[in-house]
Amino acid sequence: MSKEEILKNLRDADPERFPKPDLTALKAKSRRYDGLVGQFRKAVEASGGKTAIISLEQDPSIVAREMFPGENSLVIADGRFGVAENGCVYLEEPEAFPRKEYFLAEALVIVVGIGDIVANMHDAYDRLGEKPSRYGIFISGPSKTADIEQALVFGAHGAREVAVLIRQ
Amino acid sequence: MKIDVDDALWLVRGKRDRLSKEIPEWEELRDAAYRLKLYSNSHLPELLEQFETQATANGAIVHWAKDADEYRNIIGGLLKDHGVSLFVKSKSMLSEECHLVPYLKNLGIETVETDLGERIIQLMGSRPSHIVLPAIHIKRQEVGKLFEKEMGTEPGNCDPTYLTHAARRNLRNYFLNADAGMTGANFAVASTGEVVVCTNEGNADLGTSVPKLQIAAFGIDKIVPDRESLGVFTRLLARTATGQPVTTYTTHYSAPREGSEFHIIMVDNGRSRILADKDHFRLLNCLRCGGCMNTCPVYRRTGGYSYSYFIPGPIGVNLGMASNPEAHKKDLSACSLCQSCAGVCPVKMDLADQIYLWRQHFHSSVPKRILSDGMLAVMGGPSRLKATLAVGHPAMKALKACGFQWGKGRDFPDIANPLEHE
Repeated sequence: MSKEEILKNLRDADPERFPKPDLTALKAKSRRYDGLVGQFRKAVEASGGKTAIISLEQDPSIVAREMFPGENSLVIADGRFGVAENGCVYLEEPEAFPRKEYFLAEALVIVVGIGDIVANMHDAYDRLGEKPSRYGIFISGPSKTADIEQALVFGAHGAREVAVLIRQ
Repeated sequence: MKIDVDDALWLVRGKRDRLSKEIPEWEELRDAAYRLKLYSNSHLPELLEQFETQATANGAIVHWAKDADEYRNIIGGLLKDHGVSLFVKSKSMLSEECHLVPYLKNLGIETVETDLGERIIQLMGSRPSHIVLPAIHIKRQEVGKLFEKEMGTEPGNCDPTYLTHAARRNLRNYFLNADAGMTGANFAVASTGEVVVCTNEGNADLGTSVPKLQIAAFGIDKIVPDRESLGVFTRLLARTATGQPVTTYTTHYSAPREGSEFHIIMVDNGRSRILADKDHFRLLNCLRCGGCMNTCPVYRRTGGYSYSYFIPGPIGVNLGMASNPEAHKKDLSACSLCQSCAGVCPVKMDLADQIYLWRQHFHSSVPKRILSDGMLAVMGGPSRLKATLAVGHPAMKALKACGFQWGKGRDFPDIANPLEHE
């Protein structure tokens, strides 16, 4: 079996065994932000997305339609939490539609709670823990490419526009 | 043309510098990434088995491939068994390393590269010149002409937005009709059994969310211990690779979609041999971010095609030597030991020092000695140099006029006119 052969070769390689680094100190001193929501909005917008703060009473689908008037291919999704440092929102397998809709939509609108914004990716993965989910994705802004002469273009294959609605 | 590539890459390097400075603890992050990789690569048997157990529990099917042959056979077999005729693939350096696409073509399976840069390269019948920016050396006018022929775009229109959206429409048909989709992996997480893929375009995501068969294949050096370590790597990767805070999509695949199959292939293909090499095992740290290429003065001015190994730049010189030293030792001279690569590498690889080490064993070739002795003969001292220029300036002009070249498509430099130095 190849598995046994690979494992044997790896054991025979007998590398020096390096210890697992403790990340506690790094995580403790990692960059924090005074205004998490403000930094999160700034990061989403830097990645090419839009943001808005909505109240608990507001219907996200009405806000979404106002943001993208006339857009027929619009998908509204629930985000679990946002990341202030880079403008990512974490989503899991959607319940109401197949996951491909995240990417086939021309405009993707993600709703996230105002209390569900973490500072950086360390906090993000701490929040997820080590228990596997079936599927999980961080999305930051619209699909993009710079493969033709380094010119930035939105809408390579996935959503051309992304908005994050931050719900109070 | 070469100057444009240089400028474009230096721009990326500049963005990387700006973004890394936004993080006060940047150097500690690099140090943590370095140590995490040393830990992972020195505990591969345990971590790979843990990954397999977890991934199997998630509902994925795990395969082990000891070399490129096995990798190709596993993929070919899966595609045959599932009656696949149209196969969409996102960028994977491992698939280049193992020559997957030509093999599948022989089996009658059409592979469509879905990353825009890779698709341009595929349609041109060429090969990538950079591992993250595969089409960096191609001009918009060339892409315009290519898409005019392949996708029916307007003649003469070479606007990047127009061309990108034409490719978007064109590739949608492939995504929606593909029988199987494949990705590589940026990380494979032992604690959860999930495969993590980082992209900007969304091609990997579309290619894995429509077809009934999903394949993810990666080298065993992609293993990381846990999600906690992903926090370190995801902060470093895109910042170093393209100067973005993070890629648009960071996707974690663990279970197959409802009604579909998810196959994961873990590939050795020489990695266990690198692990046994006490001088060079740290090469397994590499994240394939391309940061060392963007900063390398030799790569920036000569481009990816001037290297013999399929991965160019400082990391490519090293990996080529690790894979087949006799075939790739000429690449060793493509380094000035300036150490710029070591300064940007997110996992703190000592790439230049390792090139120096390879040189101690493989360098002093006879042609090189003749060349350096010859240089001394014609340039040793002012009078010799003057005489050389006096003969060389007109002689080189005459030779070049007859089509004399350094190599294929590469001109000799002009020799300075001695009169201008008087």
